[in-house]
Amino acid sequence: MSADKPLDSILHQPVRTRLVAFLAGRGEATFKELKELLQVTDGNLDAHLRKLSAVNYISSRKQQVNNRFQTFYSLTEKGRDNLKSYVASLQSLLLSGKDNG
Amino acid sequence: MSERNISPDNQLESIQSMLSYGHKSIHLEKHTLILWGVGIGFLTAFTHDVSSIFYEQGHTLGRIFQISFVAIVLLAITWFDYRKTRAIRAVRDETISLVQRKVTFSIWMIFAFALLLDIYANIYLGGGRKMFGVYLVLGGIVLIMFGLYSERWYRWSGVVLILIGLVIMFMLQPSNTSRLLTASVFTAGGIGIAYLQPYAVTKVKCVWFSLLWVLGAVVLTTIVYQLDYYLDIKPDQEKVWQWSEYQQANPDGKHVVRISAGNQIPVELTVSGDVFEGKAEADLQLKVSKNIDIEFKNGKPTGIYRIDDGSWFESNDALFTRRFIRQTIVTDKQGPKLLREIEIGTQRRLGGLSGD
Repeated sequence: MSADKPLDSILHQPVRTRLVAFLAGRGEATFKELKELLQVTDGNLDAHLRKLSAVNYISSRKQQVNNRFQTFYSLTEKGRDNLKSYVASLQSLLLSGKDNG
Repeated sequence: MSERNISPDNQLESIQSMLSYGHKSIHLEKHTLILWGVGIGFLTAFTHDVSSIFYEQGHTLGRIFQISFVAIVLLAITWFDYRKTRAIRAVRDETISLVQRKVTFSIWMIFAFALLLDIYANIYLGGGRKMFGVYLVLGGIVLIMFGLYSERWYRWSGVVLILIGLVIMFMLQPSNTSRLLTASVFTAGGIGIAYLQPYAVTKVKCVWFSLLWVLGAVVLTTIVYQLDYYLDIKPDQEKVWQWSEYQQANPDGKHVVRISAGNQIPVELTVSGDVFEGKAEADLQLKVSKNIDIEFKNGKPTGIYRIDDGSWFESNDALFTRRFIRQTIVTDKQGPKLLREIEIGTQRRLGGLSGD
């Protein structure tokens, strides 16, 4: 992979990177779990989730629990593939940096 | 933060740590440990008694009922645990991680395997009681599997369960004692591991708390043994009849009859097989080396016995084929010759089968 290939702008943001990586390992998580893990405000997390949903990196499902709806977020196949590509891009960036340096 | 300021190093580290965190977030709910511990303890302690009514109608019916009973109780525990865990997580607004789902699925497979072992033991080994130690070892493996993704305490408790299972497998005969001990270990273990988990944070505490629940299991075994089993089977009669005296009087009701050391008892041996025509029978006269007291009811043994004024046992736990040696030799005069040596004893010991 070429080091010149631009990094995925959606994933190349610390909060979103951690969010997507956590979902890749965990499988599924609620809004509350993500908020506690990432230590962000409701508005901030919501904005990141919207961005990831808009490009179809994550999907959500709603389930009724004790007369209220709970939303579960998980990574889509596209999101998983793009995370892999993003990791490969970061690794090649590191390697090219070492080669040049 | 702009794209240029984000270091690839930090990003990779962040991805690595989040992936790992996502994988390791396994948590066993308290009710799960209690439910499985008490449930399997209940099965171990009472399946034999519950099935006995059906065994009186016939062995096949008894076995079918016993296996169905175990399967239904295990399925009920699985279903209840599944529902309760999801309900608790939903209230806490938590999900169950992918790894936990996969580990749970593997554990269900292990329980299914244990059920198959029970079926196998019932059909081919004459009863599931010979498998108590194996069930404890399987329980230990389950805890270690959970422990690999979560806390040291589960791994530690799993090792303790495996050790107790091995002791029961190799050191104890399959008797009511081993049944009660297994049931108590599962029950005390399930409750103890669940309630001590928040405190067992260091290795030293793990050791002490393990000893605590093992002690609880031993105390429970002793109490149940004294209250139920031992007193229940001990014959009421004080008088011990000699065999000849009993034979002459032939009294009705329950009586204890002694076969004194030095008396001969016949051992009937029948050998047959699909490579032999017909069968050969032999009546062997063996002298008993110890006093054996047997309880009789209306001229028939009830299955309760003791040796040399020791504790009373049920006949299910009485005589074991301790050693079975099989050899094929070739003699000059007779050619190929089959040698079979059977050692019968009241205590099981290691080295059950040998030969070529």
